[in-house]
Amino acid sequence: MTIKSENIYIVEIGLKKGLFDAFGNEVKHSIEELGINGIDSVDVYDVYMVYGDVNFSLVRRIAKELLLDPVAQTMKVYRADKNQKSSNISVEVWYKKGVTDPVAMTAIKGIRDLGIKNDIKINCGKKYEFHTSMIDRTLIELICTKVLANTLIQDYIIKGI
Amino acid sequence: MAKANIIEILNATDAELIEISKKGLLSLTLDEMKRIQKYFLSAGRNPTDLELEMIAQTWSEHCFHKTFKSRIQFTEIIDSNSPVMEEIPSLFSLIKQATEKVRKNWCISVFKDNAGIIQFDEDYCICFKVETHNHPSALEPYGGAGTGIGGVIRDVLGAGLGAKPILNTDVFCFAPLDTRHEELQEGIFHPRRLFKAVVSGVRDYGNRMGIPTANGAILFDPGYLYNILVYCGTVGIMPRWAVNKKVKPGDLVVVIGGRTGRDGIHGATFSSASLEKDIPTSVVQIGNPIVEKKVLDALMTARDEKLYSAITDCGAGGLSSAVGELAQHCGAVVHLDKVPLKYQDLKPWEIWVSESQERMVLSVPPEKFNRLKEILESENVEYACIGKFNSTGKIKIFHEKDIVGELDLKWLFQKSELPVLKALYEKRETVNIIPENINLEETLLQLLSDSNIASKEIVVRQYDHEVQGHTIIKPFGGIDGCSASDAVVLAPIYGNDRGIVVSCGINPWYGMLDPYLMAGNCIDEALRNIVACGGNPDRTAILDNFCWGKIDDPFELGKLTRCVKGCHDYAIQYKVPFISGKDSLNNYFTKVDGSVVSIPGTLLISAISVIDDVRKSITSDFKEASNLIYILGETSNELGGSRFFNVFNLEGGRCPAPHPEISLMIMRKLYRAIKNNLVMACHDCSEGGVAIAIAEMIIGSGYGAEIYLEQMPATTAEPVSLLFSESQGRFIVEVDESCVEKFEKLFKGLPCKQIGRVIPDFRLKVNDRDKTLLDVNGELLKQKWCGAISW
Repeated sequence: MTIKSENIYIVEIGLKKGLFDAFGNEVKHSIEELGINGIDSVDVYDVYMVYGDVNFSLVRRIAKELLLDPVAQTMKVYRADKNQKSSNISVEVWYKKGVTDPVAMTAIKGIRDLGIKNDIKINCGKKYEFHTSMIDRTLIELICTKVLANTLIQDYIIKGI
Repeated sequence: MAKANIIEILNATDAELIEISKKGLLSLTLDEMKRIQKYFLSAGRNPTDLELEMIAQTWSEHCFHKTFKSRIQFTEIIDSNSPVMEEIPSLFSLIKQATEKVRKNWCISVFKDNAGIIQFDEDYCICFKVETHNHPSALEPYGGAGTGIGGVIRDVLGAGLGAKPILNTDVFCFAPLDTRHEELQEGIFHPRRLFKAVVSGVRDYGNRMGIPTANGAILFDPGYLYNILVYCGTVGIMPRWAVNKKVKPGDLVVVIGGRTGRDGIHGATFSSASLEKDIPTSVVQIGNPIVEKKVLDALMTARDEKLYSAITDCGAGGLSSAVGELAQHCGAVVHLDKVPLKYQDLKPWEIWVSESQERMVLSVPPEKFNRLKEILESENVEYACIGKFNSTGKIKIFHEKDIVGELDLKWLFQKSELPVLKALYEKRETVNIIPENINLEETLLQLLSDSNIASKEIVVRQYDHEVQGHTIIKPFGGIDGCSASDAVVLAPIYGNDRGIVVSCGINPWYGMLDPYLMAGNCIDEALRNIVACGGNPDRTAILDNFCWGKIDDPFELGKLTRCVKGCHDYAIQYKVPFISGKDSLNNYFTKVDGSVVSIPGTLLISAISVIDDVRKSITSDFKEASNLIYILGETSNELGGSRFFNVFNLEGGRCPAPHPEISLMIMRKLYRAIKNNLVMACHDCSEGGVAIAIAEMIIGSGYGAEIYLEQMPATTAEPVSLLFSESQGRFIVEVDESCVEKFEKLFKGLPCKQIGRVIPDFRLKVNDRDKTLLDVNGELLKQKWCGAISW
């Protein structure tokens, strides 16, 4: 990517605390089916990498007006080069370059509909945050390839280990 | 921008030709490469990469169905008899012959368009198409299954001048969900992951398109560990005038819908090859149902305003295949630089053969283009006029000012000299052993929770089966909505009681014993399901979908040939026409040690029937205590391939054989009985036999049943056979006492016997003479059947 890293922003959208996370539960269930126990719970976030002709306040506006459901979700916007402090292990899953990303295409269309003319690019992904005391990179790798990502079309990044 | 490359073939040796085909992933044989060489020798030039790609794609197994069109030398050895040799003009001709012999005047368009079309009423026609998307779903199950359903929806949109999709069907085959992770080869997904992702893919695409998914089946067998099967079907409705299409020279070539990217490049040639470990990312397709939904809405308006003269979908082979087919009998000029792209660095040949989803190609008279544009823009559908049809008999492809391809269409689509294929079939003699000292209750409960029999409600409830508001008999019914229906009944036109019934028949286990009988049994099952809900067997059409293993193995081809022969013979005997079909061959996997694993040859028969009055259709749950329970059809000791044998790990045995003559008579009478309100509930006996059929009727009803086995019309007195044999052509029917006389009169001379009564207690009680063999609580039955498959 030729874009300067300070011009890449990450929008993270997750469920509000206390709401039932069906997807997170399903992921946990699938991990247990692998024979891996010890994950207390999994939080799932939709993550959007927004880059191109953007700045922080514009990304915030896009996130708030387009990507967020304010009733059930909360959001976080940050610059990609700023490390996020987290005590948990997390995994991000992104499409490989060249793989069609319908959600991103729709999001870009949505940005146009907001009246924003800037040349903005978006990649969509998922972030899985594990609440666990188990810190074993090989097991997390296994979870990534067996449950979270299809390495034919997706890449995964493990953070927090 | 990269131009087309010239590929040097004029002076290439045989070995070099093979190398060119292999290197370019063209899947072309040496004979085909030589034919190409000859063509370009007479043209006095070398081909471009785009031309080679277009030829490869047009001649691929996926698009040209070489195996089904080849002559076959078939040798059959049954038991220890001497071999019988036969030459078959082609498998496809066998299927077609059957339809011609059955000759139904309500068949409007068979085997020529994107989908089979039958008459619905004076104003409307119904079309039905079932496709497979096995290879893509094995690699990327969510995207593969989603684009599978997306593709078959477009087939229906591209049938005639376009039909409105009103129903999706799906049938999946996986390895057992409890397969141990250690058994998996590298690169193979666990069946449970495939199961979840495939279901999610179909769910998300179908639901977002606003089309009900309301019929199907899910099968589990270790034979599908390396290659899963994903069948997707769509039924559509169209006005009668929209059945025919014809491209007019002078029309514009208009592509609408999704943009073109590198997605699914080589899908057509790839699907003709087996699964290997190293797969390029580009073969994967990702679906975007919202785009297709907009295309659908715009098309329906444009069709009704008669704004285009022909249409087809971009499926395997992309624009190359779609434009090529439309231009086949006239000619066209295409400008690839006009095609809307996802990104700019695509080479001309990539644009031409890309299998990006959600695209349709229209042939539009120039004077109608402006109005079409208005409609497309109002629905937010992207479009581009990329060329013009003409009457040159050639397709000429430009990229900006350069000619990147020019081919003679007659030569391209000409029936090539196909090699004669050798097929061999040998049937083994097997013994029918019935295990002794069986605990019947345990066996029944075990069968109920067998994943092939157990309720698939957890899957079905994820699909929207109500959207559009036409669904009359839903996938699940009964008092608490947990009783499975044999078929789905739709009333597709508001305010009109005329309807359609859709069902399927599939059973690979019979095929392992005898593919010929499997064909007959699948037809019988699909018809039974239709009739059990009130469908008319004489107004039913069927579709065939063959999924087979390594087809250059004469034994695999032999099994396929025998199966196709079965389809031919039984379709004629049941008097049902095939209206459409598809084959997916080479579903095999080469292990690291070089050994080849083929899937069990699997035939799916999908059936569709038109009925006069959907209000007469019925469900399978028992309706009232003290009603009488009848069985129609005779039971024999036919446990081969049964779920019962599977539970006891028994192989071989006698495979059920259909009795078309009697079956058809029973079905015709049953259709009349249901139409005349003589039947309260009806269920077909299939996997698991009579015991499972009655248990299922109990589970959704809250009532129970008391059954006397000695009453059953049968050639055996063995309780195990009576309960679990899977003899064909049988129904369990609930009849109100006041209708008994009329009912019995109707079935006079046919195997029809009262075998028990509906009882107020929620339990299944089975007696044989004075002995009670089974007495099981309904709650237990329900718990086993409903709780076996978890998400």
